Amino acid sequence: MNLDEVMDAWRSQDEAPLYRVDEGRLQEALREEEATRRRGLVLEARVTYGLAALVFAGLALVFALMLFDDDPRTWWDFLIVTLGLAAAVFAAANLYFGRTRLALRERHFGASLHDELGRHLAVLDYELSRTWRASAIMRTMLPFYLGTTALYLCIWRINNEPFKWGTDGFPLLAMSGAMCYGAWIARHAAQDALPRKRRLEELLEKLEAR
Amino acid sequence: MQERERDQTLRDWLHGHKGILLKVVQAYAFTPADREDLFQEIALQVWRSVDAFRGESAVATWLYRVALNTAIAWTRKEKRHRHGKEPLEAANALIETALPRRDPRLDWLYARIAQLDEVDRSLALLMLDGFSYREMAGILGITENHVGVKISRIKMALAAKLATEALQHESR
Repeated sequence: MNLDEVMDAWRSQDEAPLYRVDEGRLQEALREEEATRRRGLVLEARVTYGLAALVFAGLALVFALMLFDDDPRTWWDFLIVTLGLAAAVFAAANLYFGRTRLALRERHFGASLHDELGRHLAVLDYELSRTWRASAIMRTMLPFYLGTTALYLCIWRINNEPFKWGTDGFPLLAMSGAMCYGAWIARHAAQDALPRKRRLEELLEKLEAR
Repeated sequence: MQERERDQTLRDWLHGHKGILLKVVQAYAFTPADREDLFQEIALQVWRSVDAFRGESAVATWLYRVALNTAIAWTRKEKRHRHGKEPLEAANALIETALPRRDPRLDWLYARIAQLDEVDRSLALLMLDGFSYREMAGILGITENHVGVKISRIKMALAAKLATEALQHESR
């Protein structure tokens, strides 16, 4: 066999492909795949924006109640509310700007393999930035933790009841536990992204190597 | 672009050029389940990229671009994560081996291609399909000179393999 024969064999695929494709099933599978991806994005947005709005509305109500309450309020009552409100706004803004930044980075890359590998790495970096690094977990989850804790503390303060660790402390502990568990889950899920990132970096090196 | 138009474009492209996607699948995936998965992944990326196609290059070049980019970044693990289930049953297969049985020279060639690293594999496919160095450089995002160096290395390896096997064949 020589190179010409090999080329002949190669060209024969154009007339007689090696595989048949079920196009109907393919369309169905693509639709399913795209719907799953969209559902994931919509769910993340709904949960984040919904929870942020809920915490914000609750704290805004508490703030109004404090303003018009007959009992005098200390400066740190207002500080807790303000911190909680800021945390809720930060949670929503973090998701919004994170997605906008990702979209801009994706658009920046072209369609060549070199650019595409760069784009994949950027997407992975985005995923890792949200789930892997401790600072990212803090940025994603801490605002919710602070917001809900602030809301809880403010409600407790408005009721003018003494703080009982047995009953009042439990929700605070539960929220702390939920945050730690959420962070652990996110970090665990992100572990798959690390070897993939290394592989893409290796591919990029291979492409650039002479 | 409406989803229906995008579906139609994909259908047209598949009708005219599915051979390109199948070549890439054959070069990058080595079991029926993986081929199925990679084909679906490539088709999905092609479908998503329909809007980005501006007609500045030929459809075949565009499809090669998308297919190679997808295949190189694709890993077998992704499928299970994406669907959370094992590969589709044979009865629901998206792609099936076409009859009659293919040319054994093609098996030999694909086996040689599989021995190359992922980047060189893409160059080998483009070379075999007659793309110019310039087109290859555009598809891969490297310089023409760089393409030339890599291609000559691939050609030399292929020729050496052919020569070795010819010698072995004669000695038998």
